[in-house]
Amino acid sequence: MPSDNQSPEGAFLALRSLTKRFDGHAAVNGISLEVKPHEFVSLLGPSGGGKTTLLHMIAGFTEPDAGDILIQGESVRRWPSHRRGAAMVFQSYALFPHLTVFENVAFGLRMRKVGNGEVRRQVSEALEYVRLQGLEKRYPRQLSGGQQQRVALARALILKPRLLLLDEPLSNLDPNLRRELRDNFREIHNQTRMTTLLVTHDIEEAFTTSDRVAILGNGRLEQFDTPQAIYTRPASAFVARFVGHRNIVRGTPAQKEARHFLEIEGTEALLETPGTASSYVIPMNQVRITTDATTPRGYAGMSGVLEKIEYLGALVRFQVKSGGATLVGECLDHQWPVGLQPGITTRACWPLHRMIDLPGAV
Amino acid sequence: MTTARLRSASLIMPALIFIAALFLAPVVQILAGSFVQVHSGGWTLTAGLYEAFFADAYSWGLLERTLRISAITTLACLVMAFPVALLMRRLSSTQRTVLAILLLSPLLTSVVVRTLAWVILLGPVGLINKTLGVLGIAPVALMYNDVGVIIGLTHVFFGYMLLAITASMLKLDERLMLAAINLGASRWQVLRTIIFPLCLPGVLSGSVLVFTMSASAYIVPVLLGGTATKVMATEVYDLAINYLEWKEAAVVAAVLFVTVWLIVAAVTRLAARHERIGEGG
Repeated sequence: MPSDNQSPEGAFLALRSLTKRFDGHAAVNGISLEVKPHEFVSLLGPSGGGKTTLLHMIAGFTEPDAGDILIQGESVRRWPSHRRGAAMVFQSYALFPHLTVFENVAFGLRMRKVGNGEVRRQVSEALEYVRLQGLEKRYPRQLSGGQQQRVALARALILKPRLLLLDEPLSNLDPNLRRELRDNFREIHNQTRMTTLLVTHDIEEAFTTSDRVAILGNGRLEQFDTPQAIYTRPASAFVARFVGHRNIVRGTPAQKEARHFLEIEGTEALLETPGTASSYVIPMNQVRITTDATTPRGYAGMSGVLEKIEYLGALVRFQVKSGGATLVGECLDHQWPVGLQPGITTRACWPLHRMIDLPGAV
Repeated sequence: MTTARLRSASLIMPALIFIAALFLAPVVQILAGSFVQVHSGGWTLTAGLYEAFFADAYSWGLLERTLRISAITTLACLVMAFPVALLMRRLSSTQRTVLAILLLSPLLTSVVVRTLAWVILLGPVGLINKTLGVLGIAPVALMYNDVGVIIGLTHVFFGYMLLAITASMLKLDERLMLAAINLGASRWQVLRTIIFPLCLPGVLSGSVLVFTMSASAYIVPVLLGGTATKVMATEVYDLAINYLEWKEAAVVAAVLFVTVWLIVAAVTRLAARHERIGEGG
């Protein structure tokens, strides 16, 4: 995690201990992070996690209570929104409903009192860039969701910003359209190489678009890393749960007759070396279900009742309950052992080296 | 007609019968009467009374004053209600309710009481002129003229304008304003290019309300205008009650009705066109 002392060199956007309170409650609580030039970063977290407040502070809509915002090494904390060069694309796009596509895109230039001829030239260039020529005279409500998104992008990009801010631009859309529009953002980013910040609560959206993802919870930065690192090495139980891990278990080392065990939820897993007391994540796709009584070497196992089988199409998800613990596993549809029915006693096992140690969590 | 449609039609029947019997019938009777001339041989259809009305400069003066007072009242309500509606947007819903109750509580008092209160303030020996006198300033005529009527009407109808504008103001998406600010709009530019055009439907419906109610207002012109500031509504009353000239009264009422209706229709068409643009398609 980047710290306050880290040099801002190389950072395009740097947030320093940024804090914002509403009615005594810290919506953003001392967040520091650095975004490299040309990077596509997602701010991911549950609603109420502080991500939109953070974005609004960067855009200049909300004044921070403490901390600083640096763009290209320069503090912009006291600058008005439009001087920061941070263009915002809003949730459901916030196109001006009473203005045509042309006037929506031209809005920023009009506010800068750019001459008519120059406005026409730049708007037609911007519309060409987002492939919307010929729709100048339409009104936003006459456009499809995809076209609206491109108008919003053209409107933001026409002022040649240094930073593109996307505030949940894809929520409230149906899944297929989301996927298409998500790819659009990534494509635009590939072309412009513009440093981009995307706020979302959708893990898939964040993971598929972003170079790095910042996970925010309760106003704090929980983890800031590549999607892969976040999924395979979650920094906390919060992150693990948020990115979809469902098996978070407590492991206690034990020793019997010179053999090392890890006690997990009442079952014992054989270890080669002494274990450490910690919380562990067992990735769902590592859990195997078997009717054999023995656990293979290098695996931990747990006997229990097969409680539930969910068919998800490509995957089959199952739950094994043993005492107070429930383990959730997933396997590919064609790998599902035929004939297993809910209610039977089975064994769930998983490779020990695939267990993820959750540092800090107890 | 299917049974379902019959059943839905039956839902509006009580109201329809009530309106038809107690409102439409007398109106039609009076209007018809204004076109009929009874003489010894029977009756003839004639527009003579209307010709007489429009031939008289006094009538034109009445109509002009009525429309002028209504227009100025509408404008005054608009100018005062718009900033308040802007403020309403920024308040929390509790604060908004409190402010709305405070501003609209005058509506709970009878128009007569409210208007008499203005007499105490505006009269020749009213509070304002007494204060001016103490300060050594010559008294000003705030009553028994157009100014008094406009002040009274503005007070009475301000709430309607405020409610209409606030309704469209609260529908505005905050993000539109943030987007405009992000694109470099100043506060004034946000107001002019985003807020005002998008509140136009509320402004128009509030204006239509205030204008029509001002044009037909009776109590305020009587109490604050006196005999010097006659408007169409007071003329109707005078003709019908004091002079028992029911037909002439009907003519004045009909002219007022048609004129206001034409103005409202024109404004509504304008509003409809604006709405279409806003919604597209």
